Amino acid sequence: MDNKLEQLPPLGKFFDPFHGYLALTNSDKLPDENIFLDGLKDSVSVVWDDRRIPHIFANNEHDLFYTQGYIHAFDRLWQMEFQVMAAGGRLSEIIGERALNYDRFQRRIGMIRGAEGVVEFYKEDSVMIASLEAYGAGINAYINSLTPDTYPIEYKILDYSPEKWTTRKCALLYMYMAWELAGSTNDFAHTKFLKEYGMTDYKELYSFDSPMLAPIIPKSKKWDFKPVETLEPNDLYISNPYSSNFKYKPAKNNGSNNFAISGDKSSTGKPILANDPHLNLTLPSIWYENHLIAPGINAYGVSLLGAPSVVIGYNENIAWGSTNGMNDVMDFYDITFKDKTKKEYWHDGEWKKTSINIEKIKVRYSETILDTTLLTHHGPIMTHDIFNKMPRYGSAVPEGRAMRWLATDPSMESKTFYMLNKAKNYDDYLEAISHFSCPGQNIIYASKDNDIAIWQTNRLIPKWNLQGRFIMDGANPAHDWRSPVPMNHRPYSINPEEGYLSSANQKPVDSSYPYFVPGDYAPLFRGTRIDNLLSEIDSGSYDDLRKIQNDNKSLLAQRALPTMIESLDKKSLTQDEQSLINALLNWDYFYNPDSRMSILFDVWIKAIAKMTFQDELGNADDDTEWPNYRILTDLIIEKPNSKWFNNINTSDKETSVDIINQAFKKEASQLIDKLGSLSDTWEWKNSRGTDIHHLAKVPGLGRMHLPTGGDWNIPNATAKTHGPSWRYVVELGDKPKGYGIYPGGQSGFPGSKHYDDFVDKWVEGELYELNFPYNVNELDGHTTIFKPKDKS
Amino acid sequence: MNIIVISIFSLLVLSQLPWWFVVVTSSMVGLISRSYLTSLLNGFLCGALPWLTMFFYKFHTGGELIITRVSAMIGFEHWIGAMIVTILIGGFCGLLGSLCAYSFKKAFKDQFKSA
Repeated sequence: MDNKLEQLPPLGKFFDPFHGYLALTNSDKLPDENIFLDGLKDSVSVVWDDRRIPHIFANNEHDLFYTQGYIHAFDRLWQMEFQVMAAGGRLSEIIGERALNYDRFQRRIGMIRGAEGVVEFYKEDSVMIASLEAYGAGINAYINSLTPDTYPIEYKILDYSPEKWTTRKCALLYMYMAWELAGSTNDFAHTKFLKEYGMTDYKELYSFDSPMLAPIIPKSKKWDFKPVETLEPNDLYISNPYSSNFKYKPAKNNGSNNFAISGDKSSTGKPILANDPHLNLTLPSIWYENHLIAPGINAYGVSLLGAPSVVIGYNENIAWGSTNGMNDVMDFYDITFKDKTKKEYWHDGEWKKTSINIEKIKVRYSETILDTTLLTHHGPIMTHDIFNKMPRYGSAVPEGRAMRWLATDPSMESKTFYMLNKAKNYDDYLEAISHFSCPGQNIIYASKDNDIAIWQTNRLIPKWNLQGRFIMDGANPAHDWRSPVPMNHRPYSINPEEGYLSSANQKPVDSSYPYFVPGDYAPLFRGTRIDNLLSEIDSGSYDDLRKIQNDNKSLLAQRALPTMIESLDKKSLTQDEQSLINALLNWDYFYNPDSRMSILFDVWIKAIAKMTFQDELGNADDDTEWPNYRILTDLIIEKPNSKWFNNINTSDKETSVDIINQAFKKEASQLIDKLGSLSDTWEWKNSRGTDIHHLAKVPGLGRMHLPTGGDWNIPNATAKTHGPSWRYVVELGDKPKGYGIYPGGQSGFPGSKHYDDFVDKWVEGELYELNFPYNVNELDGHTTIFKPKDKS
Repeated sequence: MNIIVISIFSLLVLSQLPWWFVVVTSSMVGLISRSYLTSLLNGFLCGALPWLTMFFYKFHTGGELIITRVSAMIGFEHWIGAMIVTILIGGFCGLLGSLCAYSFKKAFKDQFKSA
């Protein structure tokens, strides 16, 4: 009972009411009026408002970030450490051999190598390294104040101790975000498809170009530069599509919305900006709300736990927000080794040497493992040992696959946020985002100077058409990545004539853009709906933008459903089925919480996709990707006799009409069996709803069955376990007015009322008005003075 | 009466000692028990009572929410789940301590008699 038993906490230790979890009772109590800490240069005042948001007033940046680190640790220590332990492939140290393959994977893709490269990069920037070290010192000051009795509850459940924070952990946090937002690949799936069906079918099913596309950068934008030339090979290289064996994948559907209207379209005469990043929803939340005030900085917004500054927010002059660029920044290369020693591989007409990287993986209750990764100039070989279970083909020469991933190239994303926190105008914003590389983001901007702008910040590699969509030839230098394009060649727009800007993970540009921009973009429905709503705004307020964030109309349903209903054989419908169709005919395409038809359309369209593509392509999994819903609706409406509708397992020749009817019959009867006749059980909030799990999926520490509306293809992109992780709107002006909310609470302690106190209001789609005091006397609340220890 | 005295003693010292010390404090009741059955019963009470007292003290001084969540974590919808587990673990530890002490005492006593 003193040790963990498999997944159980150490029972004696944990349930001991003197030292176990009950020792944490009231541990969320805010710090005393005075705290004396080593490492502070001057006194820092922190005022916690009624929602437990800390407003940190410091006299210098060192003390500001030091105190921010201390407060982040005070409320969320376990989360910040666990995230970077997972990112760095160190979970085996906590949970033993069960995590070993996961840890190996993280090491091999280069999480630690990448983080170390970033730290070296930061060391050349004295301001940034100072801010990161000050932040870390604050965390360590808090860790030093703890005893085993006061360790956060998750340490007690998992039975381990916090360790000293380092700058490398800050870098790992950004690697973790890069993995979450730019760590997916469909190169294997696309290669497999290309091999079986050829280029014509590939372009039909996997193109993001469409006349309906409302790209992020308005179509009116002119590109007045000479593009960097690419070195297109003569022949298309088609690899053998064996399995990727990529067992670990980032969460699907990570995305976001951001939009801004100019002063001409707002009731205040100044721009209004909104943002809601859609991420995996967890308790504690990925975000922490804080306000940082020091000479040169007055920034409010949410931060990532484990890094200084505000990541999404606003200051006295500007506001900014981010959506995922969905850029394809991970490519794979076939590698041919000279022999089984794998010491040399073929590239550009010569044998080049591989190098090796050996990492130690500590395993709880077991021996430390040494793990070897082979490295080429492309990147690590991902297809040997545990990842190399695919069949050999063709030659006796051992082959492998190397991964090229932009995230492992050193860059300074933290500097972008540091500079945005201090930015005063568009030039400052431009300088700030120039440091951002991966994950590619659409960073939107608005200022009290009446500018609105958006830039895609991905370090854009010039590629020939379709380069990197398929596994490439690692021997051919034409397939290598080249230097990024100049920053002014990246997609951007400033003060467009439309008077608004938006992004919703769709393709950023139309076909007039001179570079190939590969990505795993969202279908256009969400972005188009947002653009439609923005275009209707005349004298908009923050509430108009908040309503867009909560808009539940599905353009997918609006586009596809009339044809789907029209295709039904009405004579064959039962009475129950006919009543469902009658209800569908009266549906307004809104996925509101009380909508009863959302569930029917949802399962129906999914069944149509399955019946259309599963027979030819196989199950949608790591190595098979079904075309998105925009493509499917195009086929339903424009090509009802497309070969994809034919079920190759029957002797008949099916069309879309057959598939639509079969899908409806099957799904309608299943829904009636499951949910009964049309009643409350059919309402979207009951039939789908949202679950917010604990970060480590500890049962009982999440919030389940939340009555939400929305869906992935809708502006309110709330899904089952995923959705708007921070909704915020800012009215720029002489003094900005901010409104925001995230589905969680400031405290990471599950016994605190502040653990999940924002959740119910988030479900309602409401926002809190954010306090933005300029000085310490402007706000009432609990105040703590952090003082240098030598002044005690 | 002995049980109450030992439980109060446990309550006072356990806040300064590791969780397993409840085995040691409960062993005292084993030394004064008269049969295996009473040593089991007394030991259980000497282990469970101080833990239960502390549990309720925490419950009423701000711990209700975390107790409810921990109950949910182990599969109970009500905070009583955590209370039951606390009683069982504290009681089981006390029972072990008491039983060991009683067996020890009995072994020596039997040896003394046979000598």
